[in-house]
Amino acid sequence: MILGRFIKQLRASYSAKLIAIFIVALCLMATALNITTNRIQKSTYTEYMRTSGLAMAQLLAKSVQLDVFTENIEELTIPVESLLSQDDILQVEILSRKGVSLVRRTKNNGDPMPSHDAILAEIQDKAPHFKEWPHSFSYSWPVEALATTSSADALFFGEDPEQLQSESVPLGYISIIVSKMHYTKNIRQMAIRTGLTILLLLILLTAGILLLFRRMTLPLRTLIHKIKEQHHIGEVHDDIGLLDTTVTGLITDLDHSFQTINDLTNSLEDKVTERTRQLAMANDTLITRQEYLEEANKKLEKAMKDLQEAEGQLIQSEKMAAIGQVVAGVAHEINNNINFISGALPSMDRSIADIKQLTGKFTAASTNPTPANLMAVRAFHKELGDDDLFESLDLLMANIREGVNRTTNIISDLKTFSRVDEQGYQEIDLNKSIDSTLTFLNKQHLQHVEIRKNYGALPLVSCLPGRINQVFLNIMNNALHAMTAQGGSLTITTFVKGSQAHIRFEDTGVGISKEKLPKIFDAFFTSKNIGEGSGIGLAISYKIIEQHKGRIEVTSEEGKGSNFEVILPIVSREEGWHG
Amino acid sequence: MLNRLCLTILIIIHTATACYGLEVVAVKSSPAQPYDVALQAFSQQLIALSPVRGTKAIKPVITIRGMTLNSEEQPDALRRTISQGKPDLIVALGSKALRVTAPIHDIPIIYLLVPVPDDVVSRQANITGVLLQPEAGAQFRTLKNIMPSAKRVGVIYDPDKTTALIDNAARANKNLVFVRRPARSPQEVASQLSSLEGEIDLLWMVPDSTILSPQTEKSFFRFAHKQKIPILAFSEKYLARGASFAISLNLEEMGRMAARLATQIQKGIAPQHLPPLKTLKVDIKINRTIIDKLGLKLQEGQP
Repeated sequence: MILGRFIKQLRASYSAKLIAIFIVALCLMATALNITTNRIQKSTYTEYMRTSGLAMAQLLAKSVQLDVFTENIEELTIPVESLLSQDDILQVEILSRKGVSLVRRTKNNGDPMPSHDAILAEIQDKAPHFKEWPHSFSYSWPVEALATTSSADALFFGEDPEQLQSESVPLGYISIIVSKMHYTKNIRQMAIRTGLTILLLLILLTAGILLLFRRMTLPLRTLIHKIKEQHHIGEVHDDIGLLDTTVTGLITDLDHSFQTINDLTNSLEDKVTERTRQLAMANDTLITRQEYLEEANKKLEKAMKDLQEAEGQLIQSEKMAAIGQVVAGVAHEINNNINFISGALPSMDRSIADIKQLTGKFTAASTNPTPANLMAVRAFHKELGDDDLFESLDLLMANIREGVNRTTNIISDLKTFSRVDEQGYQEIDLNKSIDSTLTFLNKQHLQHVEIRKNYGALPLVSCLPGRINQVFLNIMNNALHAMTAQGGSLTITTFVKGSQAHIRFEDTGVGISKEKLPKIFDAFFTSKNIGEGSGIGLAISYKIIEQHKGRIEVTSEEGKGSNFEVILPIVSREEGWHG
Repeated sequence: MLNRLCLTILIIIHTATACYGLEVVAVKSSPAQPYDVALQAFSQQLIALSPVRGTKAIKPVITIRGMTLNSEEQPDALRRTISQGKPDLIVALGSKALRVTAPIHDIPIIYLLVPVPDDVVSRQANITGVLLQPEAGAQFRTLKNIMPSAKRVGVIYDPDKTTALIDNAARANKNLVFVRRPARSPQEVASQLSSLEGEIDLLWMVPDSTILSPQTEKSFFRFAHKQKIPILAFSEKYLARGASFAISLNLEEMGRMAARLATQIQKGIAPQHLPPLKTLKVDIKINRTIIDKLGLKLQEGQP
């Protein structure tokens, strides 16, 4: 049953077939290795037995040389019996040159030994010799002596070279028979050990090959599994057959695909030709359009240039308008102040005329101090009144001084307002800038408006003073304009928040509608009547503040008023920025 | 004037005696060192003994030409070469050299380091020399001083070769008993040695080529070891092999004795009137390791 399943699996699975082939091959190799190793071991051990046995025989032959020479049986017996006491040695025999046994000692362990005649034949044929018998090994070694040709001179003065060259003469033979009992046992043990080692190696190798094979064939098995899944195939009897079928199908499909690709390639070439033609036409069109666009671009550039020129003219006119307003304000103020002076001048003339007249009368009285003259002087002086004349002079002088002071202040404000920006960024006090700007507000709009100052302590702020003043003037004029009809108040609040200076202008004017609020910084947008405003004042202001890395925030409610808040970064001169 | 000068020269030449001169050919049996030692001593002594007549005398001319025998050279050719050179004297070192040069009868021959000259050559008028072996009685007298307890001396010998040597020793040492064991082949040595067990105090190893061979030599030392009997050997080379005592041959003295013989021959004394010389002084060397192992006590104060 199990064998049947195994054979079935073996037939079905290609990997099982390969593994089986490997294992069979390994077993065959292991068997061959075992046999070879055993043979080598046996051969080596036999060689060892040969060399060690012959060495033993040689040693015995040397040691008994004299006793064999003299055939001293008693002395010969001692080494023979000593050697026989060894376990494996069965027989030790010393023979004379003629093959007569001088000493022979035998030990019987039950195994048959080679016959004496057989040993004798071996010895006399080719001694020294070694021979392996069924149950024993036999060794023999000749006992030799040098030929006795010593001269009398050699006895005294060492060996004679002639004697050394002389040949050895045989005296007898040594024969030793050693049992194979231990040899056979050792050979068997070696074979068992070798067999076990090879078996263990075989098991390890088989396990290793199985693991390796499983890893190596994993992609192939996965492929077969996927094929089965894709084609909904259950158990198959031949994995390789399935692979073959699948691969053949794939190759056929691939051929079809290549054919289709060829067809598509051919049609694609036509399409590409057609599309190329179309693209060339489109390219021509594009070139025409590009030329048209370049022409249009030139026109646009010219229009932009014209527009920039117009904008420049507008800005210039806005500047001129602002200057006009300032000049008007200055003229109004100076005129007011001059009124102080011009108003005092007639009275001054009269008082001076009175003083001249009085002085004349004094001069006449002093020249001609007649009572009449004196009386006339006194009467005139009384008419004038002592104190009134000088009091009125003081008052007039005070008015003139006031007029002069105010004019000086106006000029000072004008200087502050109109600082030249060519000097670049300067650190200025923004509160002072606001004050100087207030001087040049439209006095007509200022009639019903209350200016409320709510200044906080501001540090010096690096900016272009002329530009900043222009912004303040613009915002405040807009606020005053918004309050022209009904009047109101303009509250100016300055404060520092974080690293920024805030200048807030709150008016109680008409406010800005929600629709218009997003557009107030657009150029040429204005809610004023035609001729009252250019519509670029706030746009310029926005640009100026942007140039100062600041911003303008506006909140407004129609009918209630607007709130413009200029926020400027507080930057010292050292770390100043350059717009 | 010229006639007077010529006359003076003729008178001087006529009245001048022959200058002393000696040409020697030394023939060595082999390149063995003992031959070189003896020959060198001979040469030095010969020069020393040459006549000198004052400090301004003409130096005597002594020429010693050495030759070493080898197996390839034919004896006849060698003898011809020597004869053609007409030397004044031949020195033969070793038996082989003596055997080769003995056929030359017209040139005096002095042999040196020849163990038994009689075995090599019969008595010949032009041959004399220095005997290798010391006087037999002398070596036992010296030994008696070292080991007074030695009374019985055992000896194995070939009667055909060394009987005379043993007889001489026995005659010279009446107080010793020489226990003789003849052996005519090496195989008999072991049994003859066994027969000496308990019979002797000292075993005398004689220079007998029948008795001493590489095989039998061991039986001597084994016997001595088992019986705790010291061996007196005739050559120092046996000391290292197990002999207790050995006669030390004074090779230089033998060379000098040969030089004295040469001087006498040069003076005109025929070799036949110069009997072979024999060294009288005998030195005995001792292997103290063997002596200790045998448990022997030597006479105090002896070497």
